[in-house]
Amino acid sequence: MLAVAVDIRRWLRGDRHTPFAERLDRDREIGRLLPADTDTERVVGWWSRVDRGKCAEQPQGERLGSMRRIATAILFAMGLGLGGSVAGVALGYQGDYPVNLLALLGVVVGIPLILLIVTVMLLPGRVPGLAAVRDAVSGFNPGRWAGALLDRLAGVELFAALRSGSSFARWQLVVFSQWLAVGFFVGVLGICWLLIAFTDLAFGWGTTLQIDATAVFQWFSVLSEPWSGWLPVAAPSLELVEASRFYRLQAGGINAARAAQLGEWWPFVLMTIFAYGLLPRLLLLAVGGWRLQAATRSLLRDDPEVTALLDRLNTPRVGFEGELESEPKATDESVPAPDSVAVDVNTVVVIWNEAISVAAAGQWLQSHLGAAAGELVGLSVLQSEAEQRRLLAELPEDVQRFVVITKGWEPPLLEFSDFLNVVRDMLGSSVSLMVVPVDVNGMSVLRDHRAVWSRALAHQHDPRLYVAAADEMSASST
Amino acid sequence: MIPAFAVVGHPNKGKSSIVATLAEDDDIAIGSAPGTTRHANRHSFTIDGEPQYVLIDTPGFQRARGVLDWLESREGAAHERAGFVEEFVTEHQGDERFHDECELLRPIVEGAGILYVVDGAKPYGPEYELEMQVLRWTGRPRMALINLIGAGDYIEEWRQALGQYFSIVRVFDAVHADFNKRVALLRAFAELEESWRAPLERAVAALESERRHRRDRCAQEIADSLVEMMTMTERAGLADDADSSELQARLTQRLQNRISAREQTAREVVQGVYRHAGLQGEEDASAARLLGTELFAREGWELFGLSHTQLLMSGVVSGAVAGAGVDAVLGGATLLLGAGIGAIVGGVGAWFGGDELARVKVLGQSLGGRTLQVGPVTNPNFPWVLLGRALVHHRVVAERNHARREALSLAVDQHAMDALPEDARRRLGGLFRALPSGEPGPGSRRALSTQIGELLEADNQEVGGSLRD
Repeated sequence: MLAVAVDIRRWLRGDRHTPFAERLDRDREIGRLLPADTDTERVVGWWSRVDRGKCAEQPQGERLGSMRRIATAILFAMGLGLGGSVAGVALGYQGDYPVNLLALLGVVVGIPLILLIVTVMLLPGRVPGLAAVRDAVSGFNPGRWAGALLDRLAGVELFAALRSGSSFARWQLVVFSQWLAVGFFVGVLGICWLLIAFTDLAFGWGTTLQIDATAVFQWFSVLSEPWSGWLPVAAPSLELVEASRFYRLQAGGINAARAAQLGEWWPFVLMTIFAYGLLPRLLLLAVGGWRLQAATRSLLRDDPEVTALLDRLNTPRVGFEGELESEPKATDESVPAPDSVAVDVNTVVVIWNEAISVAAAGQWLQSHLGAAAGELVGLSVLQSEAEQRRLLAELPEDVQRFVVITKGWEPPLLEFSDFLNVVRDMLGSSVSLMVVPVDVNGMSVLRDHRAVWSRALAHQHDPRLYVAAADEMSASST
Repeated sequence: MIPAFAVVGHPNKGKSSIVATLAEDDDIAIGSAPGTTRHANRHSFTIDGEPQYVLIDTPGFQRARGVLDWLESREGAAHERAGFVEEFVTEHQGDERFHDECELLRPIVEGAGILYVVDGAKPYGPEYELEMQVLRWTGRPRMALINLIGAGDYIEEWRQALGQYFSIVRVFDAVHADFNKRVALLRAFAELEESWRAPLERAVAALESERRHRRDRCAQEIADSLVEMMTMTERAGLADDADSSELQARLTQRLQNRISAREQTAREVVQGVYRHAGLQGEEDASAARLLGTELFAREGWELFGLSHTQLLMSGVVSGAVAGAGVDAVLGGATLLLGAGIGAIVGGVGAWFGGDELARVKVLGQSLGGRTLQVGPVTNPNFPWVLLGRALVHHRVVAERNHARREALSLAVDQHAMDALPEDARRRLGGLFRALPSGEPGPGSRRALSTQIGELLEADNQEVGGSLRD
């Protein structure tokens, strides 16, 4: 699971550069095919289906998994060596005086037990103050060293997030350190057993304090309580406790019978180390391993990129699928502006589609040009072509200019082109046709709008067709 | 049958803009010249690929008079009129004279509803009546949309004219319509025919759900980018006799570049979420205008971040809250001394920490030598600046209409954070303070994302500045 989680997280970071819409399509398509499992299973299912070709990185997960196994084995071996060495030193026995049980158990059980209690107390990272203590002492944690090394070798940042309260990092460190501790106690027990089996060990107890054997017996009885019922040989008797007290100044006075009696402590020693050293560590290792599994699954769920992925997997894809039309190429061809737009008695002015009020058109011409046109006609698309022809036929024969005032805010339609064709057909090719688009107030339209008209009417291919601005018109003296 | 709507009308009245807005598609061609749309283009609204309704963008009428003349030349009863329209389309298939009319009438005779678009900013003209008469001949359900292109107001005039031919007349500004208006329009479509109601209601529900998802996606992206930008560092080996100030300047520049790049990535994601991916092409030209200033320019900090007073108050409040925690742990025996000291420390930190940008450290290396580390940025105003910029950017993008084709730009003329509610500021302040000291856990990330999501939800509030395109 760790390998997959690491690879998915890394891959998703690289996938950030894929356009969002593309990711949305890709992931939802896969999401629809996945069974409705838990979030983690859906993500893993997605991972097996997604095309990782484009931005696939070298998979790091497997490598990290291998390294984690190696780190675990190294820590266990280190613990084994350390435990063996400590046991070798603690059980160092030259025959001058017995091995002091109080010192032995203090070193191999007492101190590790205190460390274990501290570890358990520091596990809930959210307790104010404890987190700071944990951070301060974590520098001495071999599990932390292993984590930092893994981060560096595998190019991940799994353990760097420890301070943020990353559940994975916390439990992985617990597991690492418990493997070390388990190794330590296996080493201690192994060396103990070897020395017991192949050398003659004698155990006793000695203290400067004025403590009598009964009190010591009570302590040992409490310690051996868990197994005294089914393994009485590993529970010391009061006689043995009384007989085992020694003073180093009297060490030379132990005879063979007493030495054999002092050797009877070994089952108690082994059981104490097992029960108060190895067993709690095995328990914490099991709990840590179980929590680590859950945290490894969370490693996926808690990653923001994975959360975003789940959103893409689970949310229906909503949107438009459509046809797109490319914008037509702009044409450079346009109808020219006339050199002059003089209005005189030989000019016919047509108001097309009520661009300005026909009733007010005369005044409009007077105010804009100071002159009147020969004819002023209102025509519109509402009239049929026949009607338009009839009205055009009524115009005088000496028309020289034909001015069409039209709505500049409207686009030039093909039916307007049709009208110009009718005009040309009726009036002949020598008459100048001038189209004057005006705005809603009868003023010149913006240059852009006029350009639209110029380009649209260029399709007429009429050499005497012009597009003029209202303010370019003038009265003619002729 | 899937509801289909043919968007028809005079050329250049915003038909494609309406389709682009409803379809949220920046790629639909919208041109100022008539004839930009030459064919009927279908845009299907789908949920997981299942079409719910179809919008059909069509060319405008070019020869409505000719069509009406042809139809009126047919003799028949009213119930035969739709058949005549179909006959017209069949008969003029391939006739270049009526190419546009065939393109726009074909979807209608195939069963599409009619959305007739006019420009309410320009006066009504009697020539429109020809188009409306042709549409009435089709006998299809129809609605008129008064679009607004420009500053004029002839809406009432249009209403009266359109009311003669259409049972539903709505004003819909394609370029400025926000999400709610788009949804309201979609609901109005459902009024055209009873059988269209269910798929259109599904579409509305999907759109509303999508809207929430978009907000959440953006909130998460903004939160993630904030976390990353706030925890970024730059390191380089420092020789014993090297000038550290030069290296520090180089690393600072590198850090700033990385932070700016991450901010840009977050913006692209936000734009992608709202389907404004096309804006990315404009980023070079628009980025500077978009948020007025570069990320690390001081004047921008004044606009987007907290003011000095707000920063001071934020420091005081959060320091007091932290100190009060100590008081609470000690059962109040400190007589609120913790809160008082916390307030002073927080205030002093905010006041004097406001000028330093990033933390600079010289670290030892295990193999000897030294490493210079610049970052993370510790300036207390920095996360607020990032947040302010992200919120304003989100607001512009979320409300930006797909019919708009100009580059993003905005002006900010007041503190972006002025409108931020006090309790949101306090909660965010707490989250921000923890960032430079290490990558936050999933809980903190979620809290930040939720908080930002709430701010985006309250989008209609004045987040900061006046926006204009």
